[in-house]
Amino acid sequence: MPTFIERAIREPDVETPQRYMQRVNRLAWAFLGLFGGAIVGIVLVIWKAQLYVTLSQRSNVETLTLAFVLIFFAYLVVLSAPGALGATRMLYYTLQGRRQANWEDGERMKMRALGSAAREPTTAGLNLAIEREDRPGEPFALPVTDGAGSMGEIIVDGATLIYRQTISEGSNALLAFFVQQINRILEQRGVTAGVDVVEWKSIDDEATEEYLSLTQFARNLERHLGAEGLWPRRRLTAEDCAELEKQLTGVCPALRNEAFLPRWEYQGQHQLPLIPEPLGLISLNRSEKRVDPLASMGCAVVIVLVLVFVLALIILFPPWVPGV
Amino acid sequence: MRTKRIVKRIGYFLPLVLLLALAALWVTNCSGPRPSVSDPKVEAPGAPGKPYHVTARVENDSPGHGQVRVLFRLRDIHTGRTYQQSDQVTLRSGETLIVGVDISAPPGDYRPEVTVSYPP
Repeated sequence: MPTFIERAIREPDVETPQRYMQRVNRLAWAFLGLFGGAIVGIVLVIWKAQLYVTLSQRSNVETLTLAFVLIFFAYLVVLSAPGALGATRMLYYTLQGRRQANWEDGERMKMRALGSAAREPTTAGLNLAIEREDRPGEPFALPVTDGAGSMGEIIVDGATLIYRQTISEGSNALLAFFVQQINRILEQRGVTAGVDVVEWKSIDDEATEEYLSLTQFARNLERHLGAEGLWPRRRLTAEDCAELEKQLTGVCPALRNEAFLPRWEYQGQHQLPLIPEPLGLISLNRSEKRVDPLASMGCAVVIVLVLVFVLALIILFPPWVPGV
Repeated sequence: MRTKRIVKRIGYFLPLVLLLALAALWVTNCSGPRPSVSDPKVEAPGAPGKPYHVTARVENDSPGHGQVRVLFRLRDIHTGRTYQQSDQVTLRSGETLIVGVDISAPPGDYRPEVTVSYPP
């Protein structure tokens, strides 16, 4: 089972539909914060350019550092602009939706704004195969829909998890949410859970295809040998599936909001140099197959805010430099 | 339970607070002066051929100290022609100084303009 920190990086706050919505809202604020913070940073450096250039030259810091800071902020502006725009649209349609007679009309407005899907479904590979008790070995689908309309369906085919969306792009976070719901339901029934996503196709399609082919091979071999359980699995009852459908219905509004935001789905790597460069004899390294956009954007926001804070502090309290 | 939740929340923000506090400590403890200038005055020369004497009050309201550059200008209010002279002074924390320089200029009606800059 992933630890708290690992979960916070891979799939933070998606235990319940309410938390999923909070996560989407935080992500929207993160994009806005990153965009706004970077703009403020650029304005500060340009506004007080004379002060920063003089300080950098008097304190033996290369003036080029300022160019680096400017490029860094400009890069973040470009990077976060689609997210800031998406967050603004999300906010606009949320406010418009509140003016409607009922919430379904507001949600339908969002769906119209998002347009129809043209991309391929979102796919992930599970460590365990999932199947229904009443239909072992067969794939099954669970609708992702609520009163405002369909957001698609989740198809479970052994260890393959597919989200076939109806609008915009798919969501890896939804698959993470789905897996957490499976674990919760199984644990509530007293069954050992331990289901986890081990491959994300939108991040590493080759490794995912390879892994899913291997799980398919195991299932084919099972059928051929008539031996069950070659690949470890968990079974869901009809009641479990009904509960999953209910949770998927609850998450639909958050999914619509999330669809306004860009997908920043990447692997993550954390390096901890024990003996730093130029020696670099020992360096600890840890990687995650998926870093949730909230974790990555959240870190970027913290860095930007700290940098802007230091720049502002230098304006308010210019550091001491030797006299001439 | 509530205490545990509060401690947990503090734990989330502690690294950020520490980082900001470190940055603030570094800047405030290594900060230089924050000078401001006021009350510029010009005294006409006592005898022909002597320079004008320009003074101003320079104040440092920062906890830091350091050298600042004071730029004095005499602007002829009719022609706009200016004459300037600069001086460097060291300000301690919270110190106020009256700084003055002599500027050689032909007789005329002048308005004093004084600016102060840090770093010099």
